[in-house]
Amino acid sequence: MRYLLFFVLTLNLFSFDAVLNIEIDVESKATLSLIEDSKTAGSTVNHSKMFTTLLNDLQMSGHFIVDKQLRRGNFNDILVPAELHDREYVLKYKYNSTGTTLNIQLVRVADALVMFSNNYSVNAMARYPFLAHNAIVEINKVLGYEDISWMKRNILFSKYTGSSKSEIWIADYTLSYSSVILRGGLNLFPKWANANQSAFYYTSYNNLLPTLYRVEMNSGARKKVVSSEGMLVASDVSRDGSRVLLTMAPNGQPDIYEMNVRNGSTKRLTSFSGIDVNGKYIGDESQIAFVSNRIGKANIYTKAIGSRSVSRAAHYGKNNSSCDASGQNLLYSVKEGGSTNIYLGSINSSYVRPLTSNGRNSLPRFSTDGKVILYIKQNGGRNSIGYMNLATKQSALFSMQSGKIQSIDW
Amino acid sequence: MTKQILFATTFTLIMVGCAPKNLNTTDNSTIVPTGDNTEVYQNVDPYGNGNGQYGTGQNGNGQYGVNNAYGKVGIQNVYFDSDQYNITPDKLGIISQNASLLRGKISSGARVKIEGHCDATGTDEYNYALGLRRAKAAKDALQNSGINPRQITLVSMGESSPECTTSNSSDCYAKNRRVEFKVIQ
Repeated sequence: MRYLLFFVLTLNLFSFDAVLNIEIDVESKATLSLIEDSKTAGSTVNHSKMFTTLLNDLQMSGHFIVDKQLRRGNFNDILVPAELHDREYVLKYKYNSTGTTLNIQLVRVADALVMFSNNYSVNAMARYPFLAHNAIVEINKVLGYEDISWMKRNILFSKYTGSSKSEIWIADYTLSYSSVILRGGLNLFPKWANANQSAFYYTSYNNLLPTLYRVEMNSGARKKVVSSEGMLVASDVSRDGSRVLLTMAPNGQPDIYEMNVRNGSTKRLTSFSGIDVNGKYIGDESQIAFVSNRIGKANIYTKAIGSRSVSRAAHYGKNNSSCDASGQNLLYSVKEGGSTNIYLGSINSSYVRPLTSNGRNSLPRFSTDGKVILYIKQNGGRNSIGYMNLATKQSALFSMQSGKIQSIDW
Repeated sequence: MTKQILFATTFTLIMVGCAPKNLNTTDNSTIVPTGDNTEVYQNVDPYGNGNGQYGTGQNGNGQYGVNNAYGKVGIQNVYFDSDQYNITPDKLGIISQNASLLRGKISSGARVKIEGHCDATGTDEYNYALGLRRAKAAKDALQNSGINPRQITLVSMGESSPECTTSNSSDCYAKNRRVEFKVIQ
């Protein structure tokens, strides 16, 4: 069994808290080299970034050992350079001078077979990372690997920009593309309204009462959904987008409600006199996980919708103030000593496993398929977005330039 | 060697979910005083020292209207222990004093807005709920001091408006765990 050992920032056999990772078994990974078309190479400032993005995406997929050397050649040449004959694949790509189109060919070196080719286009150069993300997702699929569609999804987050000020941003998973989409006052807790990310909810604190709005991405149209005294958060959306879990606080009592999107009706799901927040659908969405301080400190609980019975779900930690759920799996943040760490657990068992080991890590989120985890890491005044692929054990951190992330969804 | 293409070349336009037109909104219906909107106040200096600074940590004494018509002591903030939202007995005097100051304004038709705030530990959604519980505790205490609860509006600001931003020390965080009382028309 071959082992490759990369730079290790922190070594912990049970967690992934490192910018780079330890590869334990590389025999199942395919070797691959990138070749940029020499005719269009370097014609835009983003050319080196495109190479880096393709490289990172291939590595992040967890299925490739990628040659980090930037090579150039004729895109239409059928011959594979001799020095690459020990590779399994060559990925040839042509990134045009407008910076908005990417052509690719995946070549199997052994017989020079073009296994896959496609052309991709975006409507603005700034969105170039999505060219690479989409290409690598499709290459991954063509070769029969596990789906990594999470890689091409948009990240939606709010960040504080000053006292009582925040902005809502959209980005690709690496933050190489990012754009503010809503500013003006205090706008928080953005949440995708559906699986195809064509709309999102957010809470405005600019009125007397916190107000939930829904924004359609293509038109920018904004519609008021509901207001609530005290606080208002859309914390989860059902898979079909028809129901939303809200935290509302009429009379100053924060509880979890479920809203029917079609008719706007709401029903209260929790009734504890303290704090119940952060509702998340679990399993077949007839149950929820949520955060409550019903035994004094914040912890994670589950209950069936319509039932009064509540069960404790987190089997580790005494101060767990955020959670996410996917199927029967649970993610939560645990404040322990001077650190806040992310733990992976199960609704149905006492299984628990740390995913980080130091620092301040919060806002854990499952990908839509539950296989990749996103979280926020705070280091001094700087935020980073971290990812961990539970299947391939690949991990990465991407730093934000400024601002503190308040809430995130993807 | 014959080159075979297993998959037809297609042209894929990536719909990356075009960002909506940038929404610059300040929700014109707001009647909540911002950092520079003093006209809703009458005889109350919202910043405590008249220099227009708010929530920057430069005026961290939490007092409003130091030199106003109410005399030397104005409406004061109430502070909380970490992760707590009960009004401790030593704070009841502040509540009682605030109630005395607010009673006259309420009888003239004003309302009271109580804002709950938190330090930056913990997750924001939990912190907003914690801030709200603090505001609720202050409302209940004001009610016990004779203020009509129907004249009180609650809102939580979570950790969005810290009083102290100079460091992450426990002393600085302690200044951010508070409720503030504002008079609104």
